[in-house]
Amino acid sequence: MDFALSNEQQMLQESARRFFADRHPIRRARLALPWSDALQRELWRDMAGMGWLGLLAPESQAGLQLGMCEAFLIAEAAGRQLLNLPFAASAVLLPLVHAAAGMSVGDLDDWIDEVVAGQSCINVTTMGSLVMEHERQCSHQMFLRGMTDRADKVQWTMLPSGTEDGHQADRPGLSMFDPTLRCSAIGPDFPDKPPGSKLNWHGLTIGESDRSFILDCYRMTRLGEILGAAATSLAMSCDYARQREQFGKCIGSYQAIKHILADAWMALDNARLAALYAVASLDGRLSDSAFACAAARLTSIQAGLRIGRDAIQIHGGIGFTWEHDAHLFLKRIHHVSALLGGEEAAYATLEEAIENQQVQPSRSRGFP
Amino acid sequence: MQVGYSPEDEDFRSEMRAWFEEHYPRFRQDWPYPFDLNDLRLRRAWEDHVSRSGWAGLDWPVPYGGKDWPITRLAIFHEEQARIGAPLGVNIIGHGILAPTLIHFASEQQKRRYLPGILSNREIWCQGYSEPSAGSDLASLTTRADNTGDHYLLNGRKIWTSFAHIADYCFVLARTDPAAARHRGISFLLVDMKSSGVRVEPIRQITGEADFNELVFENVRVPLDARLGEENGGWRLAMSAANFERGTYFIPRQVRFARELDSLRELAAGISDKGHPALANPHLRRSLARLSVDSHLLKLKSWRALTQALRGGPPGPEGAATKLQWSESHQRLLNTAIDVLGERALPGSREGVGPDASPWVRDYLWSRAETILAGTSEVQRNIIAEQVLGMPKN
Repeated sequence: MDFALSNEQQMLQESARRFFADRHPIRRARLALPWSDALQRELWRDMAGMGWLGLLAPESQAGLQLGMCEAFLIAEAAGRQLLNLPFAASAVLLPLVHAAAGMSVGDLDDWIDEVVAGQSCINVTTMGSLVMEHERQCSHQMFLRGMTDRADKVQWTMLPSGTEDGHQADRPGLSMFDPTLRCSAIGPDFPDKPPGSKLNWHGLTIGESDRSFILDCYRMTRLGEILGAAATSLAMSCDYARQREQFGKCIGSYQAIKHILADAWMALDNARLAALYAVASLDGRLSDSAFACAAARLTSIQAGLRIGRDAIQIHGGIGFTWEHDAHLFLKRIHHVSALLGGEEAAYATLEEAIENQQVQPSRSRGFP
Repeated sequence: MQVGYSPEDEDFRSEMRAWFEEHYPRFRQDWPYPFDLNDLRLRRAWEDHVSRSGWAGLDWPVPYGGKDWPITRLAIFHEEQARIGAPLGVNIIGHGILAPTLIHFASEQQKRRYLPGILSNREIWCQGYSEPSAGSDLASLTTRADNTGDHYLLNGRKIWTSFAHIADYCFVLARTDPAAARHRGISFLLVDMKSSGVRVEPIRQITGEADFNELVFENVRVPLDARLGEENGGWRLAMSAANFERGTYFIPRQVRFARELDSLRELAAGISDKGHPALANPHLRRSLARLSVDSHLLKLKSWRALTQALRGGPPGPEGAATKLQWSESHQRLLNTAIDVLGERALPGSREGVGPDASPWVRDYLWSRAETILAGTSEVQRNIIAEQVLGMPKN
């Protein structure tokens, strides 16, 4: 029994937090820099230099062969600083799809080599999603189909970013919702749709349970982003509550504020605990991982949204201004939460996991 | 990171489970009265049986009759006892709070004097902290113990004292220096309940039962050597005792929570209204899913507390969050149960109305106390805001 980060994991967490705080301050996140900006390419190469883009990749491909816990910690550190590069897609989804597909990988090997080296920066859109992220904020857009609809084969295709949509020029993709991460609407047939497109789809053989496992790993990484953003948001609220004075004392000395903050902290602590168990259950391929991931998803989304909203309330009028950073965190949390289906999908998955009896949550390891 | 217990621990769990599975059903069968888990006679008889069988003082040092078990074994013992559905004892305050405090802070003579009585349950303990005018603001207590040079003269009132009507001893926080600042003038006294001038008045609760009492001290003579720690040093001891309480206090509770949730699912599966099964209601299914998450979180919190103890760190302020999470989740569970039962919860007699609602109703009513006792939810939130998040004390 050792349900806490190991020394190595703590060191990784500290260095990742320092790295992103240093390299991606919130004023830079506000710029939502495109991939064409040299600063973005340099940051990605430096992330590769830390080994983080090859975190899950096998040693045979210059990877570190670490686990989901480490991937989660890096995503969380990146989320604290609202990173706008596709870490979860490039460093988690891609190598896991590659590993599960075994031999039939086409030139996926080469793409992974390029990612591990920091040369390519690949966002992945799973078909069925209504949006494509990171438009022009990555080097390539990969599309995956068959991951969720029980198709015989999973198929993928890769396009250079910026070429994937014929009418992109009139739609810069900067959303009013999350100004730090580009996101544009796509149709159900995208990317086959643009006139004249003739795409090269490659088939991969990936079993049903591997597909669920891969998607859970990807979602846990994105949840790390939510929890990181929520942690910064809560820290901002706490700082403000200690400094801002009204009626002759700081507002954090009033119970009305204290209790909002205590509840927010508890929600975040619970969600993080659920997430750490969930990634451990993925790393250990434990039988209750579907339940554990669903529990982490529900608690993280709920905690994130509540903390992002509370931050604006606690900051008062200043928190409602564009100039203040509070809204950026709320918006990023919404962004990721919506991509993962929000609370509704989390509840549905949770109920399904409970009904499947794959887990008996009350009887999982410990007291069978 | 290593989640779950080691294979050695699981072997130990099997042994413990076999013991409980052998003894508890037999105890149940032999019990001469109606088998009511809230009956203090029954709770005491089971606790005695466990102690007599050698399963007491599990984490105490060997010289005092303990087994000096590592905390994981202690946790497994409590988990297995809760899993079989056995009741909590009546000397839980002695075992859970006072014994570790004695082991850490008492003189050798005091340890020899008081620990054996707890080990054998020959001496039942209660805790005299709250007063009619000192609840959440415990440090404002006014019970006085005047040092006459020969003994203390104790005067005052304590309230909400569980087990006082059956207890042999009470550890009391009393003011020994009225001139000192609030926290500084308090001592920790071990009071014999048979002393002259001690009066116990039961308090009937909203459940109809009387588990709590008011305690009145009128010129009670307390020997000077029945003081634990320094004179006026009692507050620090009380705070440490509260930390010990957090150590293993919630382990059985979270297992109980998981059991109750299973029972709630069974209850819901057996109920239908006008041909509609209760479980067809999406709101209920959602509540149950949420409670599964709560149960999962309580388990993870206890694993974290165990890990902290194993790594040798002191219990952190997360204990406040665990208490808050447990009490509020437990209320949600019982709110859901009462909602599922609907009008079935109302009749006094059970004939023809289906499931026996009375244990649910009793537990529901009792759960209203759980966000008040051992520090209200409001106090726990203040602790989190002040000690974890650095908000100023008011």
